[in-house]
Amino acid sequence: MLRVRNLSRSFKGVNAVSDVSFEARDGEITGLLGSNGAGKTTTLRMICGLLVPDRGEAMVDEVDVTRDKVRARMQLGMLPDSRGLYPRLTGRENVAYFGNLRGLSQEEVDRRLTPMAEELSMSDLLDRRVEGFSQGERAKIAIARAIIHEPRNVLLDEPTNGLDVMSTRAMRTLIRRLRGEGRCVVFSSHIMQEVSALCDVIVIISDGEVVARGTEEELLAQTETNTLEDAFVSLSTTLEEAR
Amino acid sequence: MNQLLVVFRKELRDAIRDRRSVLSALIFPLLTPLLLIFVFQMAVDEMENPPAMRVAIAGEANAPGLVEELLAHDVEVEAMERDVLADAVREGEFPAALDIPRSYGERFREGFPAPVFFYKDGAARRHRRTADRIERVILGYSATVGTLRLISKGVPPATGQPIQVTAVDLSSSKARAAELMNFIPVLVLFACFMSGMYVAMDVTSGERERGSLEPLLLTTSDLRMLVLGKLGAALVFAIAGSVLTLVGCVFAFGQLPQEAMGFSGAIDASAAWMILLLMLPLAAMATALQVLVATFARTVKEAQTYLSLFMLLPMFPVMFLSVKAPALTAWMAPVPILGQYLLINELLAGREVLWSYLGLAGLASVTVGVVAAWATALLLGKERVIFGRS
Repeated sequence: MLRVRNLSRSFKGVNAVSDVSFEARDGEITGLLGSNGAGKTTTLRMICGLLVPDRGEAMVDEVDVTRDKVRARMQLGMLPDSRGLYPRLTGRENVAYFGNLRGLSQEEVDRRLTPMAEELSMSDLLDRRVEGFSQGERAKIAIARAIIHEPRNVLLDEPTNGLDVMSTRAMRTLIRRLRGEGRCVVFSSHIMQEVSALCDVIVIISDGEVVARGTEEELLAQTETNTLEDAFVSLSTTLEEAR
Repeated sequence: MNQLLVVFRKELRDAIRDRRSVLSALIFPLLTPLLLIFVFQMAVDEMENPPAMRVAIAGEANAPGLVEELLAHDVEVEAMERDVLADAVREGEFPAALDIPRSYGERFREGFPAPVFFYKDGAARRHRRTADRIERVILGYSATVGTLRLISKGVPPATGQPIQVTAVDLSSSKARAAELMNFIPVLVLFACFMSGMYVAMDVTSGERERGSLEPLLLTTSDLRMLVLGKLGAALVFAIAGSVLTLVGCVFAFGQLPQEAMGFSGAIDASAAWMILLLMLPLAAMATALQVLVATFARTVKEAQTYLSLFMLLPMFPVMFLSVKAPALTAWMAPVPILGQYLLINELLAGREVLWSYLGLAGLASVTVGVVAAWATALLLGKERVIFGRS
């Protein structure tokens, strides 16, 4: 469960995120939809405590991130924008490093990794060195690394960016499984179909502000449009005009 | 604590698999003994087989006695036109040339100083010593003839030698060896700075360049553990490299042919241990500073630029010191690099070194290292470092 209230942050006097508020419930997939530079990544970075907000607060399972980063992060897994892996380590070693840092033993990491590798069809990647992996293969290792500690809340920053069809499907299956297990999943994207196909709740962000929030049906009804794309364009331009 | 070990193990494994890191830690230890043994071999060769004394000579018919004396001392004499003598020396064809004017014979017979012109090139290193040896043969002949003349006139020969100089070289054989051993502190200090450098860059700027810093920072909140683990891995390389370099030096000096050099190069065990004791804190300081400097860099390449400038830090004092080293005093001991350099020199010269000086040198370096590590931990949490990717 994530609760974000009036989160604001500016860089060098330019507002990147202003007064963003939303709630992401357990057992639901919440999509942050917005064009490039809308403030999605900045919002996610504040939720996981890498960026300090100028104002507002982010609560992870009732723990205020700015107050107690350590406890908040224990139940938080994040696939950040930068997915850097260690090229000289194998896939398994990359995942195990993060698992061990989270306090998991090697056996525990292996026990969790095997079914996950199966699910993402990357079992053959685990014991090869990461150098030479394709972008999709890297993304799979990166997601496994991000959720190896089985957090109740998962943040994914454009998780299907640069992935081919098969990898995208595997990723979607994984995201649905996480929801099925009752976890709270938040993912950001600028791809309408993706958000439309996966999300229970959609939060549309434009120019650092939340312009709409609701299920896809609610958004379509609100804007009297037939597709999410039309709804998105309509909502974004409404904001422009309002200014 | 547990996180520290996890980071340390991972970084160590990662670094061992990196050819560049391993190579840069091994380059000094591998090259050092080879270089030293090569230098010794050259020195021994020159001592055992001095180059032939060859002299170009004009007007040799004017001084048959002198020429005979030269030949008797294994000087090879080669007749040459008078006007090309100087050029023969200038071009390095001969170490020296001798011009004996016509007046020589007459003046010699009449007991006046007989003139000869001796040409040598004082700037030609490879000929300088040979030319000096030839010159000494001539001066020796002059002295012998002078003595004979005094005797023939019934004058005691000592009359012509009012002062007798006997030079006594007071430097112990250890101290003379120390002159050659000037190499050691330089090599060892460089090894401290070189061996862990690549690892220091890879665990910091490499992390930023690959984009793995952001996900890494999400797993931990104690940046000090992270920094110490990384520093530890780099330090293993720095220490391995510098210890192997020291072992290489000790080994190479042990190979020194004592009978040929006239002194023993053997470094005794207690001195070697104390040098090791001096090196470890310095390596820690060097590595911690490198980790700090490299954290500012967004890419390994950028870090390389900073750190090659940073390498001037040991280079300047060491170069200056190897030309003119001041006498060790208390305030110098805790100055990093300066203290270690002077103390290592003292140890190599076989002199006693105060434990308090060793302690001061170590303490000061470790303090700088701890401050650098602490600063790195502060820096790693900064937004511009986490997200400042190029």
